[in-house]
Amino acid sequence: MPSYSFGKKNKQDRSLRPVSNALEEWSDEQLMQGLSGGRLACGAALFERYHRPLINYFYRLCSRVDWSEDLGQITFERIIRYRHTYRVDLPFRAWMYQIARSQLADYYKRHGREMTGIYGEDHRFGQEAPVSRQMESREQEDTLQKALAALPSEYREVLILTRYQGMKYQEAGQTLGISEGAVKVKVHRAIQQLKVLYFKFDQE
Amino acid sequence: MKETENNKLVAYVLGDLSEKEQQEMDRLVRESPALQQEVADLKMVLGEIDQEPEIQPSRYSRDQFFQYLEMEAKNDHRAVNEKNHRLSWWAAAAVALVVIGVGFGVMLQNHSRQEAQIQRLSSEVVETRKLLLLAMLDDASASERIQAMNVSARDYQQDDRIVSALVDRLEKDENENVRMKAAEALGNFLPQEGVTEAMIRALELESSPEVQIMLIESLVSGGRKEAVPSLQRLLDREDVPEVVRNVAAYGLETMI
Repeated sequence: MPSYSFGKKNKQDRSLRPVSNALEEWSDEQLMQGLSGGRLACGAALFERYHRPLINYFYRLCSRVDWSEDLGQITFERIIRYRHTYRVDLPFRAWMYQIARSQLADYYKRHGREMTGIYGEDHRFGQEAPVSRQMESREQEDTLQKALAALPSEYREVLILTRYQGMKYQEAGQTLGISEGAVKVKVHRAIQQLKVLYFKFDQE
Repeated sequence: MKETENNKLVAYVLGDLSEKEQQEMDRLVRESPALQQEVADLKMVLGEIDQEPEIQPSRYSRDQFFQYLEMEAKNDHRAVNEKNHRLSWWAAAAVALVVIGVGFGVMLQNHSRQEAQIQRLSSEVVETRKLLLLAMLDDASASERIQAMNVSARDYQQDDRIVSALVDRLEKDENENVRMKAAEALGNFLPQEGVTEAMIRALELESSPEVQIMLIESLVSGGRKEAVPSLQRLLDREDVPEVVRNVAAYGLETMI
C-alpha cells in the first residue's frame, strides 16, 4: 500500500504523490486489475496519473474549465464504479477515453450543445479561466485556436488523442472504435486542413 | 498539389511512411523549394500544436475524487460485512453438522483478515484525503483555501491537524476572506481544546471588522462564556468600528 506525502516543500509542487512505492511503477492495466480486485488505492494512483490529461482532453474539446473539471470528476467516478467491467485486453487509456467521450456526449445533450463548432466559443480568457494559466495570449496561439475551431470535430478529436494525449494510432483507434489505418488517414487530413486554416487565419 | 499528395507530405513529416517511401520523399523534397516550404509550414503548425498550454486541475476537484473513493471504500466494507454475515450462517451449519472445528476457525480468520485489509484501505483513503485538505489549506490560491475551509467544517470534526491548520489560517492568513472563513469553520470545533482560546486571542489582534464580527458570532453562538471579558474590552476600544461593537454588545446581552 502506498504511503502518501507531500512533494517538495515548494508551494507550486505540493501535490500528493505516492512515495517510494511500487504502485507508481505499475502499468495502467495492472493498476486497473488491482482496482477491480478491490484495491482502491490503485484508483488513487490512476487518478494521479490521468486527472490532468483527462481534464485537458475535455478542455480542448469544450473550452470550458468548469465543464472539464466536472467531466473529469464524473469520468473517474465511472471508472471506480464500473471497475468490474474493465477487460484486460483493452488498454486502460482507451477504456478511459471511451467513458470520457460518452460523458461528454451526454453533457452536450443535457446542455443543448453540439459536438461540432464548440471550440470556437472561446471561454478560455473569460471568468472561468484558471488563475494558474498563463494569461499572456500569444498571437499564434489565437490563430491556432481559430484554426482548431474551424476543424471538423472528428479531426479535432484524433488530433487531441494523438498529439496531446500522446496515443499511438492503434490505441486511438481502440478508443474511437475505428481501425488504426483510419486513424492515420484522419490524422494526416486533419493536419493538412489545420495547416490551410492556420495560414488563412494568420493572414486575416 | 492534389489532396493525396498533400496528405502524403504530412505522413512524411510525421514519419508515418515506410522506409522506402520516406527516402523517396527525401529526394523529392531536396529537389523542390516549393516542397521544402510546405514541409517548413507543416512543421511550424505541428510545433504550435505541441506548444499549446495546459490547464491545471484545481485541488478541489481532487478532494471531490478522494471523497468519492472514501465513500466507495466504505461501501465495499459494508458489502464484505454482509458477505461475512451470510457466511457465518454457513459456518453455523457446518458446526451443527460437526464437520471440522479446525476448518471453521481457519475460515473465520480469513474473513477477519480480509475485513482488516479493507478497513486499512478505507482508513488510508481517509488519511490521503486529510493530507490533501491540509495541502489545500496551505494553497497559494485564496479560493482553494476557502474551499478547504468549507470541507473541513463539514467533514473533519475530530482531526487535530486540521483544527490547528484552521487556527493557523485564522492567525496568519493575509486574505481577509480566508480568515473570516476560518473563524466560521472553527465555530464548529469550539469544544475542542484550545480552539476557544485561539479565537479569543485572534479577536484581540484582528483588525478587519468582517473577521471580528464572524469571531464574535461564532463565540456567542457556541455559548463560550470565556469570551465575555474579551468582548467587554472590545466595547471600550475606540479603534473598533461601531458596527462591531454593536454586535459584541448584542452578544454579551445574550450570553450574560
